[in-house]
Amino acid sequence: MLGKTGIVIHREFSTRVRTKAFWISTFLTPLLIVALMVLPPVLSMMYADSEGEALRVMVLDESNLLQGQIDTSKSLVFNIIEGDYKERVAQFKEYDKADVFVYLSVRPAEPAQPEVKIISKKALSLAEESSIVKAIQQRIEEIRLLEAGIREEVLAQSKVKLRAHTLVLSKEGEEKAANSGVLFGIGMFLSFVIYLSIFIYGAQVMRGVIEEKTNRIVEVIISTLRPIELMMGKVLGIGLVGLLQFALWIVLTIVLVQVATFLMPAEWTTAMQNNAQGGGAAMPEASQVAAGGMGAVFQTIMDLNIAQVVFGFLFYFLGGYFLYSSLFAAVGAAVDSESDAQQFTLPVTIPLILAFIMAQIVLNHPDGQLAFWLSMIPLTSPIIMVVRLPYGVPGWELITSMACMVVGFLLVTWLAARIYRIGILSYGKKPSYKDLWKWMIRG
Amino acid sequence: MTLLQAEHIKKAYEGHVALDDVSLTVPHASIVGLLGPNGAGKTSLIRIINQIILPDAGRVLFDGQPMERQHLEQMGYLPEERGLYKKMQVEEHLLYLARLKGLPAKEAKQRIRHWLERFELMKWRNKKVEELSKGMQQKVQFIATVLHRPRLVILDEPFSGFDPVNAEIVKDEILELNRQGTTIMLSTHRMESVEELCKHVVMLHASRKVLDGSTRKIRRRFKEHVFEVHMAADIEALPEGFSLLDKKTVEDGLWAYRIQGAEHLPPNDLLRFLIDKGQVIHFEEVLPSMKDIFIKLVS
Repeated sequence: MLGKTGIVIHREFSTRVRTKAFWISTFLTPLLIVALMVLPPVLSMMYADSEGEALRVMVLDESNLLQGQIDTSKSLVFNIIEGDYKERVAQFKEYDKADVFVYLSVRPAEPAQPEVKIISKKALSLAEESSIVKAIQQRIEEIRLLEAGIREEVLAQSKVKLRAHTLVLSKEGEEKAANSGVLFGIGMFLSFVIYLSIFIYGAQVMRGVIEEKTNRIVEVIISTLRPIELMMGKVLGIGLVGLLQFALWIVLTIVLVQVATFLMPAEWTTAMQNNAQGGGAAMPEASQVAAGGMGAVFQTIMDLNIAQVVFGFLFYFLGGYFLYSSLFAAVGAAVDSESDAQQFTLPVTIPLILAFIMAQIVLNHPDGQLAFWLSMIPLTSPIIMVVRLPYGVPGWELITSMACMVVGFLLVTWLAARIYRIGILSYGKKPSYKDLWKWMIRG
Repeated sequence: MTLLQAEHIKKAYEGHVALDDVSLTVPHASIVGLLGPNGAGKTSLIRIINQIILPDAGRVLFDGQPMERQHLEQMGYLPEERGLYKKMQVEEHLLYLARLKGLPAKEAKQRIRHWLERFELMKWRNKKVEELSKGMQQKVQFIATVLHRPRLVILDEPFSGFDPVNAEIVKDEILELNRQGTTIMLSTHRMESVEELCKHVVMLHASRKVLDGSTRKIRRRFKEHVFEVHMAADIEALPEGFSLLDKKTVEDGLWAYRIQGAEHLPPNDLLRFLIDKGQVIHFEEVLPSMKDIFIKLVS
């Protein structure tokens, strides 16, 4: 039934798949993904392991809040000193055995509350700064509890490490693991893939149309088949290229990860697992959490409605791509060169960019009003619905959204085809929005 | 027998009329020239015939039936502004276009080989289009136009961009196709280039048809009774009603004359008079060129 459109699809697909650029990006992307997975934890592990990496902190404790003692950890070495502030700061500048100078005092207005001034030779990271503050705060709290008559053993026993298991109770009464961090991650990742694919492959559709128009082959071709057949052939052909590339990326990434884990030293693997948990390799507690943490991640993924997520993702991936690439095709047909296209691509991409920004808000309220309406609009649903999928979306909502998508796709393609078939034969003058509107209405 | 017929075609774009009640008839196995200056409406008419655009009024008949999309497979079209996919190889490009015209791949391949050999492009068949010279690319475009053996070939400015040698090759191919029964419609603003090719012409000017008929008949219709004579005699006087327009010495003892006659004066009277004066080597009634006729019509 595809007929001549099938011949166009075949050309669009085969000419692209045979290019070097296709294979280079197909192989480089998984390499990049694996490198991004392996390098940061490994680097931070190496960084943490190297000699003298602990921060050396001088503390000038004017009000003796610490009572001359503070616990030193793997990453922080404290040295409590006395003396005059100005003199000590001047010494710190010259002294190469300390990285940070901390001046601890009480607030003049509230003598019970301390404050610190942290001076360092180079800018501190957020983590470093908060670990210094936290260590000092903990020590002061401890002293105050001891002073209030609480025994040291009680204090030690009272320390709690809370591990959270988030569960969602399904309608059938089943408890399902739902680590919101993991759900968040999956939603963001999937919607990002769609966002990126629409841009990459939509732009390819546009460039293809401009090429056909500027080298004038288009007139020969549309004296053989209908403009819409040519447009759909191009959109479908490039869509297939996208799907193939996407499938290859998944397979290659899995293979590369397997190969990498096999070849990597064991401690790198541990570092990666710690990193995956989100704790950061430098944190000593991370490794304790890791075992349970990884399990929780895995459990959350297993408990997802996999069929809904996968089917939904594929549907919105294709739907979003078709919808937007028809618009990109219309833009390509309306202009004579890529530089002219920019003026029109911006309004086309705004809903997509907006959806991606809104996705962050939607993630905080996946069942809110905003989430609902943005999931119904075909221009934003490919991003918003996919973000919501891991959290579970009511069936009727999903079906309504998909129906809207199909209707929206047909409508947008029909309008885009009207612009396309006139634009493709119009040369010279760059059309205005008014012209495009006329083409759309009068056809 | 008529292969193509356009009836009362009207087409207006925003702000201007491109075709105003234009009708034409293309007889089977003929070569018809569609003449007119740039902007006369030739390309619009061709696009309507090719179903690329729709007319506001009027209809097109192909082989007696209202034109449908399925007829497009029996037509070949070489547009004025032409191009190819630069990154595709010559042979696969031709195969693509042939398959769009409904030719099965296997048969298309055989015919492509045949044509590539004919145009001496065989060794270029696996090269990308962008590696070919412009002339070679135009040959490829011509092959693509005729590969599926269309019954009607429409050529819009077929000789533009060709060097004289290749223009001649293409002209020969057009004549050969016509000998084999292909109907050809040829559009050009260079009117002198089609006089020898087209037995029939349609002339458009400012969106209207100004002329339609056999080339010979049209030229006779617009004749101005001018005769060109070469003879071995120095003539001073002419018979009653004839006047001398120009006189030149071709060589010693041989003169060339342009003589103005009139409609009521038979040319034989002139010839008889001249034969009595000396040896007549050449006697021809000068017919106006299409360009002259066009200028006369328009002014």
